[in-house]
Amino acid sequence: MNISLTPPLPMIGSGDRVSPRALAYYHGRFRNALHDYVLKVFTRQQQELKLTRREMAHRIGKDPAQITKWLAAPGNWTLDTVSDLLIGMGIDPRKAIASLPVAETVSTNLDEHTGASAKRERRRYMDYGTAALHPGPGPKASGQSDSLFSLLKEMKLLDALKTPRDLPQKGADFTLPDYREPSIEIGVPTTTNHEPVGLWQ
Amino acid sequence: MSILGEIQALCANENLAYLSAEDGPKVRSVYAAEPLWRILCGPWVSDDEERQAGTLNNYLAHFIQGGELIVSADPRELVCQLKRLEPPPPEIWEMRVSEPSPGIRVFGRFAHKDIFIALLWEDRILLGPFGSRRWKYFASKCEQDWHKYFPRHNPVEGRSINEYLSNATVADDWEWGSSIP
Repeated sequence: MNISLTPPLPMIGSGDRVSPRALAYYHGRFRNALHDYVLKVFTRQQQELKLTRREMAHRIGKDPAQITKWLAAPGNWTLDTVSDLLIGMGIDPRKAIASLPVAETVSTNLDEHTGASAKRERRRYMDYGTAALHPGPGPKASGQSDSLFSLLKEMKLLDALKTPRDLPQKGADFTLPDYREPSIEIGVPTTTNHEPVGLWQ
Repeated sequence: MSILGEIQALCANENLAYLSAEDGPKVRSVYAAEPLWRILCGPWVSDDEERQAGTLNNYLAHFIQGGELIVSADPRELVCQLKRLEPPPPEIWEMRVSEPSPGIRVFGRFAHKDIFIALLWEDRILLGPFGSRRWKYFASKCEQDWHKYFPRHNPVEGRSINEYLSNATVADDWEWGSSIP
C-alpha cells in the first residue's frame, strides 16, 4: 500500500480551488527550501569565514539563542527573519533573490482551452496589430519572457514578419495572417522539486 | 525473515503504508500504521484539520527526501524536529510537527537506519503537559503496536545519531556533527 504525500495542484483554468492541504504542504516546502538555503550558507560561512552564531547575533542585534532557534527550524520565520539571517551572514537579500530564475508554472490546463479563453487570446492578438511595439500581456508558455519577439513567435507571427525591420509602427496598417490557436507547450512542473531552482547555484 | 522483509510483507497485506513524496529525491523511508492513514488521506473534519494534514505531509516529505533534521536525545528539548523520548519504554521517537501551533506529534520507532515506522499520532494539545499520563499512554501503546507488527524484531538502539539517521544534526547544545551522548 502506498500513500502519496504530494498533493496534486488543480490545473490553471480548471476553476478548482487549491485544497487547504496543498496550500499548507507548499507553505512548508517553501519554508524548508529557504531554511535549507540559509543553513547551507551558514555552514559555508562557518567553515570558510569562521562565522559563529554569536557573531551573527551581534551583527543583527539579536540574542544568540534566537539565532539558534531560527536556524533549528523555520517554523516562525517571516520574510524579515530571512532578511535578517542573510544580512547576518553578510549577504544582500535582494541579490539572493535576484539570482533566481523565473520559475515555471506548476500546473496548466491548456488542453481545456475554452472558447472564452480563445476569444480572450484572440483579442490580445488583435491588440498586437495596432500596438505591435508595445507588447502587453499575451498568452505565455511557461518560462517564456514577455519580449515582443517571443510573443510573436508564440503567435506564429514571426514567419510572416521576415525581419525585425518589417515590424509595423504603432498605428500603421497591419494585415494579420489567418488566426490560429497558439501552440503552447505545457510546462514541466519543476517548481515542486525539492531543491528550489537556482537558489544555491 | 529480516525486518525489511517483514515490512514488505506488512505493506503487501496493507497493514503498513509506504509513504512516497514524488517531488524530490528519496533518501529515507517512512511506513505508516493504520492510525495515521486518516490524517494523511482524509476525510478531514475541517479546513484546519486538512491544513494540519498538509503540514504533516510536508514534514514527512522533508524527512523522506533527506532534508536536514534537528534531532534531540533530550526529551525536554524544544528546539528540535525529532526527539527520542525518555524510557521506559525505550526507543520511542517523537516527530514534532509544531505548525500550526501547537501542532501534532507522531510516535514511532526506527526499524533500520533511515527507516521510520510511524505508529501513532495525537494532537499536541490533547497530550497535556510533557510527561503526563497521556504521554506515557502513547509511549506504551507505541511499544505494544511495534510488537504487534514486529514480534521478532527490536527497534534500532543506537549510540549515535548516525545509527538512526543520515543528514541529521543534534540539537543538544546544538553543535554541528555532535552525537547523542
